[in-house]
Amino acid sequence: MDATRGPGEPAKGRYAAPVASARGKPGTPAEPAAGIAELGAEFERSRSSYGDDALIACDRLVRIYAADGIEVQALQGLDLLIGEGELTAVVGASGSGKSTLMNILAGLDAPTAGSVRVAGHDLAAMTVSDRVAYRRSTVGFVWQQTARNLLPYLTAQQNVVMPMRFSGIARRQRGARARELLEVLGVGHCASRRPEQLSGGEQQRTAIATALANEPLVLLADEPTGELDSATARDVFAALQSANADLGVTVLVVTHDPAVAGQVRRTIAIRDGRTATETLRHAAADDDGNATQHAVEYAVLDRAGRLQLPREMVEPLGMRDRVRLEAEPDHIGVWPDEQRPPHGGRSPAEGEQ
Amino acid sequence: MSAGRLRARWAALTGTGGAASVALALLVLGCVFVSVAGPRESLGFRSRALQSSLAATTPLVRSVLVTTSYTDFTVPFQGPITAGTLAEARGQLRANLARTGLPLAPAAADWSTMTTAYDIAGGAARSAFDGPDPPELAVSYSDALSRHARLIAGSFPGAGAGRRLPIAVTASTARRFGLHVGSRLTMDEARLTVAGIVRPVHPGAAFWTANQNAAMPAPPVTRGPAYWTGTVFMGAAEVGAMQSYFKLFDGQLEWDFPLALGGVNADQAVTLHNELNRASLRAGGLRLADSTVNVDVGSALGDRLLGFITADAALADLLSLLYVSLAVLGVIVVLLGARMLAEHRRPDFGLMRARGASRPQLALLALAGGAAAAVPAALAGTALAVAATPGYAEPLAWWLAAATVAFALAGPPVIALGWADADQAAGARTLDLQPGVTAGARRWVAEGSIVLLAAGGLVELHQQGLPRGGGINFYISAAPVLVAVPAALLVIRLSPLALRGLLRIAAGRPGVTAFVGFARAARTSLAATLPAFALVLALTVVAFGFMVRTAVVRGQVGASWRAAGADAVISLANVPGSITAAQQRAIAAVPGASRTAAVAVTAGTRESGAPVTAVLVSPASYAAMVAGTPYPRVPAALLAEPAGGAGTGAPVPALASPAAAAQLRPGTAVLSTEAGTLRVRVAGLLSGTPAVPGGGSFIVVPAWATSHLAAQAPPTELLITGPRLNDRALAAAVARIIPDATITFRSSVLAGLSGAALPHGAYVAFAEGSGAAAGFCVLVLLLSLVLAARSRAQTLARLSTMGLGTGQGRLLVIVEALPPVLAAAAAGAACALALVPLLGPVLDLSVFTGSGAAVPVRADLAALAIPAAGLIILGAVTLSVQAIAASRRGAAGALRISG
Repeated sequence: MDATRGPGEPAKGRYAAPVASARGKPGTPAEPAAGIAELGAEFERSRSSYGDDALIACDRLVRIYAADGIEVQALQGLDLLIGEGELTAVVGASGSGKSTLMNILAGLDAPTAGSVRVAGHDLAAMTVSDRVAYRRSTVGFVWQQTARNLLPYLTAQQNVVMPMRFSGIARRQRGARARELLEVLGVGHCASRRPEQLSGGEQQRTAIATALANEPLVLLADEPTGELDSATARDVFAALQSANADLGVTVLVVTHDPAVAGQVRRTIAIRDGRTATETLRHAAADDDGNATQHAVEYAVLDRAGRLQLPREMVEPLGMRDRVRLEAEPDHIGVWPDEQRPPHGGRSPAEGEQ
Repeated sequence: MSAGRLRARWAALTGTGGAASVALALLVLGCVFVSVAGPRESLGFRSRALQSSLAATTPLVRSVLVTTSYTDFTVPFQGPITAGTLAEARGQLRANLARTGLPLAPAAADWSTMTTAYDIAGGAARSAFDGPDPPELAVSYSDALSRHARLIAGSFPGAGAGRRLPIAVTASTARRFGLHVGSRLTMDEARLTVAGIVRPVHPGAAFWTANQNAAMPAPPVTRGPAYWTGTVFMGAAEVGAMQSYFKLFDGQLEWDFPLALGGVNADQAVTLHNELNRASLRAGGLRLADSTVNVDVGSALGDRLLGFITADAALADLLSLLYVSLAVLGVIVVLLGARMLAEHRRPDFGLMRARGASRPQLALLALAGGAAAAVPAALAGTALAVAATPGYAEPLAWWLAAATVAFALAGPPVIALGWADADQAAGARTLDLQPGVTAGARRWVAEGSIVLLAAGGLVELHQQGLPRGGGINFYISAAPVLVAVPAALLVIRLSPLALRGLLRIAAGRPGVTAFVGFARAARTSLAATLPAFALVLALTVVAFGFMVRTAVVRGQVGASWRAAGADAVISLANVPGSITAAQQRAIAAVPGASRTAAVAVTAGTRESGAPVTAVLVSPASYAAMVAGTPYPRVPAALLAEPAGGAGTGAPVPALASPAAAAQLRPGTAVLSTEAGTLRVRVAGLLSGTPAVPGGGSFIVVPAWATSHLAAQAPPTELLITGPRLNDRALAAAVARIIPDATITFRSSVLAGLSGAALPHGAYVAFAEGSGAAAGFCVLVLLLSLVLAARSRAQTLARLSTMGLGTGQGRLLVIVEALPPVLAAAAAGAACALALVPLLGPVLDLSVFTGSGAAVPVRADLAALAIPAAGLIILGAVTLSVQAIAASRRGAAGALRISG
């Protein structure tokens, strides 16, 4: 997987982002200390090459909200790479930064620090008009609340047509495209109904059709099945899979639903504004030759070398505050600090290194 | 378009803001109605007053009269005058007048005339002699006789033969001088024959009133009543003969040009006055047969217009007090409506933005949604206003309506784009780690600048005073706004401090209601700057308007007392006889007559010979009657009869006006009255007294002082007071008991003052303007409460899940939302108080009283308390209704909205 690729790999991806103007200024009087220059060059190399072949690349993404004098760090240096054509789930506790990440990827919010590139667009450096063009052509979005995805006073077809009208697509083309999308997503019969006349599942599938109207490269879905029953949720997720498989759209789904998370090949867990773990699934044959799903959870080693250890592994061993590392030829051993009492006056560590 | 398609179109345009669109439409309708109807109605009542004033004048006043003497005309002209000369001069004069812009009536209404001086008439007319001297006649030629006279006998005068000249006379002239068709008169060498007898078509027309005795003979004032003068008319053919036979060196040439004033409105009065002045200066030049002749152009209309213009300017100053404030309030109300619409559509716009809508597309969608509500509403409001105020088109009305619509249309897009910008800015990469400090400093600087600008503007406009040549007084117009701005900012700054203090107190006490309410109030009060300013301004205007109206009523009542003296005055001053005690008793029995006093008002003279009005009164009854009036009390004890009676020879105690006292000799003075000579001693001063309501030099003397005199001065006036005096019953009683008396009712005087066309119209317009300000105040309050209703409902819902009771919830919303209203009410009252010294001396309310007496505006507790209390009660009721509605809706519904 791309996410496991270490920094500094020379791969040149399809979506190489334009280099920001602040980087590397030819002709600048170059008499700084040689060590600093080398460090800077190394930093630039690492930045420019990170995630170049990924469709979505978040590099040390930070988002801090300041309201009423209180700062909330929603994202605290998040790294994330998503390849083209992937169907990826993002999971995490409430407040972990999932929705902030989705809003940034959708071009609805901008990061405080770090960089984020989607299909070659540097979202942090976009102008207002770039951002509008990005929303029209690159991303589609589906929210959890069914009522928030569709304008209640328009029919399903009119809702699907709306993004195309913003993009200036010809009337005939957009009508045909809307009908096609609704048919593909199994809600062709709902074209002339308004959202209040649709079931929750139909609303979300119409919302997916609306999000796909301008043929985006990326479809972002923030808990699209959160308000649905299990059967309907399966249908809606199937629609997302269909969009991924049939239309080639890269899909990033935020979900709390284990059933959904369990159906994707890659699940990324976010904790405290950082990617914590990744779970990769693949099919394999058992001893009887039957196909079974195997899931392997990986801790994510971020670009600063930090690692988050899963709580369920840390807590049984009484690991907190400090652990002992032992370097072995083929792995690193992590051991509890046995010199310390199992329970001290401070709160348990989160297993973070 | 079918109803269904129309609904779908409406829904597509207004989105989720359907209800808010309807609300915005209603606000726009109301504001446009006020914008259009206000100026039109203002112009309407002023124009009606002007027209009523013009209608009360004679046609002669309503025309331009051009005059010159025969000599002044013929010396430069150097030739005999013909009918053609007069006609040519008339044409040139009309062209000259038209160039000044005067609204001339059609040319057919013009006329010209040449009249000789009076000359002794002989012949048949001598039969009408009352004395030894014969009557005198003027001979007149007019080109409009046949238009203004109807022939009742004979024929209009044509061409004569030799010295026999045919004339026409009016029926009145014929009757006075005993003339008939065929009668013969002699004047100097000319012999006149009556060819026809005519009757004026309209005796009041300028044609007949321009010359004193054109229609009927009159006794010449200068020669005594026995000698009559009259006018006879000749035809055009005899204009030359007139100049041969009659004394024309004293003759007069006149041209009259009636004005078409029916379409003149109040705004055009100044222009018309200027045109008349211009005409009198420039329109008198004639070019006739290579000669330049100058004639006098004038009109009595100028003086009438000046009176109207002066009163109108004073009233315009008063009404201008409302102009800027109402405009500002209207704009704020429309903007709040636009904000409400934008708030309701915020989810729509958010979704559209996420789906790729650009800023222009978003603005267009918001504009279209606003236009769907505002444009039809504006058209309806305009139509209603035009229907309600027919007649007078006022360009200002269209400008105000257009501005209202512009704000309604611009509001939603600007607000929507503001959100888009704010959302964008929220994600800015440069994080301001101390945003509160920076924003707070910026706010202090901005507010300080605004306060300084407001204070500077107030001082500057006060120093500028009234603009030259009249116009809007910007000081009066802008003062309420300039006072309300710092007051509102002060309220916005101070109320959070006060609320935090209350919050600290509430935090230490049991119970959640006050604590949560004050906590929310302290957080949200800063956000409502615009509504707070609007509330302060509206309350300022309403309260100060209340004080002004109170001052006007007080001034009119005072003027009515000064004009009448008592609630009713029965007078026999101009007829023989006196008011007897029996008659006084009968009048006192009329329902509502509380006190009566019979007085004798006589002309007196002091030793110096200076006149003084002497009032003989019965001290006790007069003092009791005066107690029921606003005049100074009469100390009856000072006028008491001494033990020995009037015959002791001691000087009579009297009460004198300051003017009279200043001229009477100190100690004992001699006063000559119709009753005889009295030795009086000034026992006290009275600044005014009902028996002499006009004031001046008067002296009040007890009636007992004249009892020993040979000549008596019996009472000729009966003064009556009574707060519930039955005027009709009193009039009937007077007609029965003292039929020769005249009666003056103070209520009639008051009705005359308050019902005078221009002041009454201004008073009504001012009251309507104050009412509109009150309406705006209510709308601002309701809109600001509605805008925050959703947030309050969510708070209530959250707290109700924690066990907050319905009653507690109701109290909570009141504690949260009412403090800003209370603060605004207090600030509004303070601003209104501040306007009393700022504007009171500038406003000339004496125009309402028809006198020059100053009518001061005074601080009035009721004027301050009633609007403020009304606002607070309305706020409390609205909040209670919102709380009840929220509790009925249930917590789930409210929380679903917030999710």
